[in-house]
Amino acid sequence: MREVLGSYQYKNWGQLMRKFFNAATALQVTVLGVLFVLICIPVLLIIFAALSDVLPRPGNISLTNLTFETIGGILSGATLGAAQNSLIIAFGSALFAMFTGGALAFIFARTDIKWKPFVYLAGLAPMFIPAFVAALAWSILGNPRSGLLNVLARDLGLPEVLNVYSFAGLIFVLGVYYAPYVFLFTSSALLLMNPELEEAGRVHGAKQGTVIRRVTMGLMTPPLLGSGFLVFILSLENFPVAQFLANPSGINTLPTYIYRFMNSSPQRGNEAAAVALLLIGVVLLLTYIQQRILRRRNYTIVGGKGARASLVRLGRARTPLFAGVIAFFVVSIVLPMSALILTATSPSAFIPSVTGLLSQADFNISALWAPFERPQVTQAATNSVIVSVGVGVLATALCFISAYLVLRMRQPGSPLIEYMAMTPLAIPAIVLGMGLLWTWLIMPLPVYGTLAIMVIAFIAVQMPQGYRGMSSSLLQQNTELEESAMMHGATRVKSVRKITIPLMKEGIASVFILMLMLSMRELTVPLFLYTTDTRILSIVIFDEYENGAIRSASALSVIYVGIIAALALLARRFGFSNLR
Amino acid sequence: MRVSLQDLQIHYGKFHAVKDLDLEVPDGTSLVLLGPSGCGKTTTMRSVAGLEAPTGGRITVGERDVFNFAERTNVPPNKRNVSMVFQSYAIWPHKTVYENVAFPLQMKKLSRSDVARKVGEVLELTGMSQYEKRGASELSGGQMQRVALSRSLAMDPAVMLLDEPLSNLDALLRVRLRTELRRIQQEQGLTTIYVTHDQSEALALADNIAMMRAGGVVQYGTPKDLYQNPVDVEAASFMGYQNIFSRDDSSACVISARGLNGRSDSGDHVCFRASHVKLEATNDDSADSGSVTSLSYQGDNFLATVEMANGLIVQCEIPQAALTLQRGDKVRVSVDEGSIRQLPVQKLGSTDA
Repeated sequence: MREVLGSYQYKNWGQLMRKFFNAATALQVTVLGVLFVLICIPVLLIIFAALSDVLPRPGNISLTNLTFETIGGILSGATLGAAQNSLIIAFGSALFAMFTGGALAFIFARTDIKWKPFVYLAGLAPMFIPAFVAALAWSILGNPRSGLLNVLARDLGLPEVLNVYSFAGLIFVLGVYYAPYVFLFTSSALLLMNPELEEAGRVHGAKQGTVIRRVTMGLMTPPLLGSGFLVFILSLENFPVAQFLANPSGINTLPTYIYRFMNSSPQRGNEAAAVALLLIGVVLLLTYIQQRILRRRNYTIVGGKGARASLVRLGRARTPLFAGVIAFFVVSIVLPMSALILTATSPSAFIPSVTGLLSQADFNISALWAPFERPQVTQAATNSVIVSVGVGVLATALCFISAYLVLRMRQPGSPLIEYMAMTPLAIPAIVLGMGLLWTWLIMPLPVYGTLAIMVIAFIAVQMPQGYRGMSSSLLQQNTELEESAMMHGATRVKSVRKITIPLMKEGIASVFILMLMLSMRELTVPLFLYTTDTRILSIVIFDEYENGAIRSASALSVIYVGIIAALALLARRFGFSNLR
Repeated sequence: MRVSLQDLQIHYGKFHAVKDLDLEVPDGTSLVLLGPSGCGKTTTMRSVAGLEAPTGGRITVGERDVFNFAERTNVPPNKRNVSMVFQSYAIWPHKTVYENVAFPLQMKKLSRSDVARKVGEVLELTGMSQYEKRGASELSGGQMQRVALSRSLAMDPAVMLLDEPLSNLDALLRVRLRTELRRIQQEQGLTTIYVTHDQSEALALADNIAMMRAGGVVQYGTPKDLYQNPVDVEAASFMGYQNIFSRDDSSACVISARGLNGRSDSGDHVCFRASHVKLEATNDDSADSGSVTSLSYQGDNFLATVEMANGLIVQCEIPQAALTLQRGDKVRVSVDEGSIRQLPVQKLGSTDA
């Protein structure tokens, strides 16, 4: 007993608690401060810029500069047209993703289709191709004149029909590459569903088809709607796909509108901020509606005796459905990747005939590596690695401390940490990028123009994903494990280090890899922040494509997708499925 | 309607889950399948529902074969007119109470007004009328159980199956709902098959009990039969016999001293209930005496543990009023000969009903 007490350096409990309370409070205040600077200041600056006619610079930020003229100015036909386009595209791609992702999930989880692992791969694989790379590949495949599929059609004497520079093209690309979110949510819900719920339908007089329609479908609405909303919001705020596919045909969306304002000279930041505010408003409204709809539908359908639900026998529909799965895989993975490889390795960027090209077989595989002979590209690759690893380490630490403060310390004000950490979900990446730019131009730290600002920005953007991953992992830990360490004489810090962190090894590793991968994928946020020396891979691909260097962009994209797929597989090994 | 199972076989790969099972449920009676987990009771019941495909035998509901292996008959679950109350209740969370109960009626394509009338009737019967409009996810466990029961009653089933429907409820509610279940079953003249591993539930609900073990029936009879005359030691222990000793152990003490060895039973174990033991204070150290090692309060009576001179531990129930004992007191232990059962450890094979 004496030894146990002796390991405390404090005379009595009161003194111990006081000391301890102070340390915890100090930590909490620090974290709140960090999150405020990372996330809240950028958002506040956007709001300021939207309500003002001057840009947020030191000395400018004052209430006397407030005016509603900017907001009034942008509420014109052009902006509302862009808003309408954005909504049409988002709605279309959400529906498309819900249909394809939901159908694939059902086929995978609940039918006797053959080759199930392949069906799973087909449902998941589009996630490995970042949407902007997919848009790039599809513009090579389906641009109205020289798109490879149109060239092929011409070779075969068919009319040229495909035009991805259209609403349909945008909806298709966003829908296909966001479909994995729907697939993952829905298939896991289908697999976890208590089969007794379906059996009850059968014994109470319904045919299998009726049970699926009236019971299974009803139960699937929450995951289906939830992931559909997610796709809606992701599509609504997606900038690069719209830039690649909507811009050429003069379709404006809210994100491209913001980008144009920011890139015009002189820069029209106030208008950009005003449009951004509109976009935030739409996202918030949608999030609110989503929560209203889903709140009353939070079904607990897991349970029962752990039996697997019976599989639907497809019978004659088995082969056609499997062919459909293969078709989806070809369209989502094989075609775009082939297009990228073909473009990168063919002798010339201009391909007059696909059949001719294939018959010549004049490919140069080493062309895939050619871009890396340029110092700018190797520099960018190095930058990508430095930034990703930096974000991985720092964001993981920050997320762990935040989640720990919220879930374990429960001090007054700790819920605020959670709200701040989750805020970026409602802020479109392009808007946050803008806010971060202004923030770090004002801050007295000389980070603008260095890789540090990239790291800071990525941590801010990826905070929700990291925080969510970390807190769900921490929630699975029984608090008593740590408490018993403290009862047996360890300080709190020591208990966390010796007990909690080792037990959470896998969860922490998965958050780290998730952060690594998301940093690799990110294109929109760094668009406003990079300088010549601080370009990263995604930016280089974007630039090359925008400057017409299609072959180099293709070659880089292939390598890039390889890296991301590897990281994604690694993340899934650690049990991560929610990659937003 | 009458249900009969003949020579039922169920295999899972090499595992023989149900073996040569024969059972008969007369019309309007309640059969309880009682047994430990993994004995095949749920599997048997699910094959009556049509949710499990047997690998042999025949199941008849009324005069109709719903399953006949020889003739390749296997009526799908929705055509059997057999209803089921699931262990998890399986109340569809996306439907209201009304919609849940109306489902089987809509499947029968009843008119809207008939559906409404029938739903009203059964909800009245189960006391859930005022919850009609509630979403199913807003119900308590007991309410869900009533909804599940209502939904099954609504379809006027030929047979109603209940799969441990009370096991997820707390003790008080369990007893209340079990009485209610029995009332409804008897009032409506329902034919039911009820699966449980709880002996008091089985006794309270059954007209007949089939005790199952390792895929077969070891004992079939009325609740009274099973309570009073268990067929072997395992059955006795399952039916709540607290005192079970091998005859060798007990030979040195009171029980053999009272001449039990002379009885003609074949068993090598003696079993008796704690409530049949009598204690009286004593001072001598005879073989039929021991000392009280613990006393625990049970409400109406006390449970006393007595350690006999030869080390045997005997559980005794004594009425509260008669209690003058203290821990450590010496007592003489006696059991009425008529309350003692001599049983084999495990009956070989299984009897058919």
